[in-house]
Amino acid sequence: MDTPIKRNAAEKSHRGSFRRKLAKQRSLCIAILPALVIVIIFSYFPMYGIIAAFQNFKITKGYAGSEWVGLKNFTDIFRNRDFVRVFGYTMQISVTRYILGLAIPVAFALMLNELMNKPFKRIVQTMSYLPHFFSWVIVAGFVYRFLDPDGALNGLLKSLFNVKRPVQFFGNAGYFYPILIISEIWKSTGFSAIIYLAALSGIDPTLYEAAGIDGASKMRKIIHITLPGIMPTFITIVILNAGSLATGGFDSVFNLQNRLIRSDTNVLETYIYQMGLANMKYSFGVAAGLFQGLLASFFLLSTNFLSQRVLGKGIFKYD
Amino acid sequence: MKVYRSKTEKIVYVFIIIFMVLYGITMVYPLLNAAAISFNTGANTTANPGIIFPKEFTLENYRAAFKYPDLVPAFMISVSRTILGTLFSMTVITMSAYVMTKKEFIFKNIVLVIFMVPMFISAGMIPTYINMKNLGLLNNYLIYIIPGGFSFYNFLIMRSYMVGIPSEIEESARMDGAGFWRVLIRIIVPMSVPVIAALSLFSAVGHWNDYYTTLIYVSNRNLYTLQFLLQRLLREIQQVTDLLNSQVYQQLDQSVVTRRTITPTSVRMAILMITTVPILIVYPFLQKYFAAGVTLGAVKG
Repeated sequence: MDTPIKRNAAEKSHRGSFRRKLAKQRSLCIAILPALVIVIIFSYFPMYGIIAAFQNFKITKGYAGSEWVGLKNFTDIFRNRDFVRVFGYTMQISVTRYILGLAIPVAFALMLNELMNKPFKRIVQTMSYLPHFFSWVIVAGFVYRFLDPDGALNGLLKSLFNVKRPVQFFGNAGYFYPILIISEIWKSTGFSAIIYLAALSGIDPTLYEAAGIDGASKMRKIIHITLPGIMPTFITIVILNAGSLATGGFDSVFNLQNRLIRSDTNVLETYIYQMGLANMKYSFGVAAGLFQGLLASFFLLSTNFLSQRVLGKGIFKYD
Repeated sequence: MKVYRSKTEKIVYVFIIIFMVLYGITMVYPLLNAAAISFNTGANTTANPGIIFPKEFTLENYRAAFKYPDLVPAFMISVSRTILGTLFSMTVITMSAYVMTKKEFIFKNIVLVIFMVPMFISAGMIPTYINMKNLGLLNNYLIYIIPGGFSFYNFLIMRSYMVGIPSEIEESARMDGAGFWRVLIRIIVPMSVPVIAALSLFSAVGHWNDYYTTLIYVSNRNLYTLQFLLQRLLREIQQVTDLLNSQVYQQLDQSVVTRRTITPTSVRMAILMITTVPILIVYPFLQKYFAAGVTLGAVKG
């Protein structure tokens, strides 16, 4: 039975021990402070700025002085044909990226795994992740050069197929989607395959030997040993990558765009940049950004939930 | 172990080898092409766009690139922000990761929540921009250093490595009277050198490759980074034409320009190579570490 006095005393001593602990852990608190301050200032402070989505925000007036307009910005963005088209294009790109980003690295890893010549395998692998470390600025530089009217591909088309006039790859928005997807695959496949190669090297070689003795063909070994061996990794990636389903990717799109085709090749991120910062329609940009942010959060949280259910751990490994 | 018996298997194997050779070529060809163009005369490149060796060797493209008044300052900004930014970030992350390995740390749960929430929710580009403006970080060198100081992914990797350090070593140091900071600097940091080295390399590459910060927050020419400069030179044809017609180049040996030894393309490729070479230099080290980094983190990043 707790009497009020007793409880009071317990609380007091609890508070006392908290204070003692705090005093003892002063160094810990000081050491965590820089990280905490950075996260709060640069990740949490901006969240306050979301209120601009409900204002007619003027940068000279600030959040306090700007006029409130309710949901007008949201009705504006959904009535805006451009926005709806950009959103569709973003989803088209992100879904393609999701599917190919799953299939191609797996296929690449499986093929690489079949190579018997170890030095050759290592050379190909080393080359394959080189582009991962180039910025999109540099990759775009390569792509421009390759597809330029007097670049290597047009030279090849001219000499092989006698194409008279060079193809203007960057003058026609229709070419942008394949160019973007192929460039992204070129840049990321090698690096994405690493995780599968790690899984493949973890498969017990005696399984293959036993299957060989039983007379299994190469194909049967792949179906019954290799694929089950990388399945857990594959499922993890299927779930993790779903978290970025609502993103168009600023870097790749922005760097591959140019003035001629910009308005037809925007994804949400570049569109928000254009409207919000370049054209200074802040509130429109904040509202569009909030819409995308909520969508992204939805995908991330569902992914996290799914990950906890299926894999037994959240998308961030913390033990 | 793998013996190919049937004919189909042999054909498939040959196909895989051919595919891999082609794949390897597509990985390095753009780089070789850019390098060759940067050392080739502009006029020759126009006739032979696909070269991988310079046909008419010249250094004029690089000379012209370095004559570009913004290039050397941008290079210096890129180098200094890479060094300072990486040092700052590693300091912040090492300290926070070590604290978060402590089970007795009273704020560990709340701090973890604070770190984790921004991974799921972000304010978006415009509110972030306005926040930077309010903090006085627009056109400020510190924008390159401070906001990127903490990365949750790097924090997770660092922390999971530190959790693996045997606690006996730390305890015995404590017995000898070493305090928190002494243990951190004398024991934890030296024992975490592999992970710190790996994350430093990744962080440095990230700093070097960043053009976005300049694009969004910086308009002052003196604070341009090399990536941003290259990004503008690649996108805006006008920029390069202006550059070639500018006063600096008028004073340059006129015969070089009139003989079309340098063209916008050849100068661009020279600047692209100047931007790429540092990555190529650290690539062997990166390669050694990143496989470990990927498996260590086992998170999306």
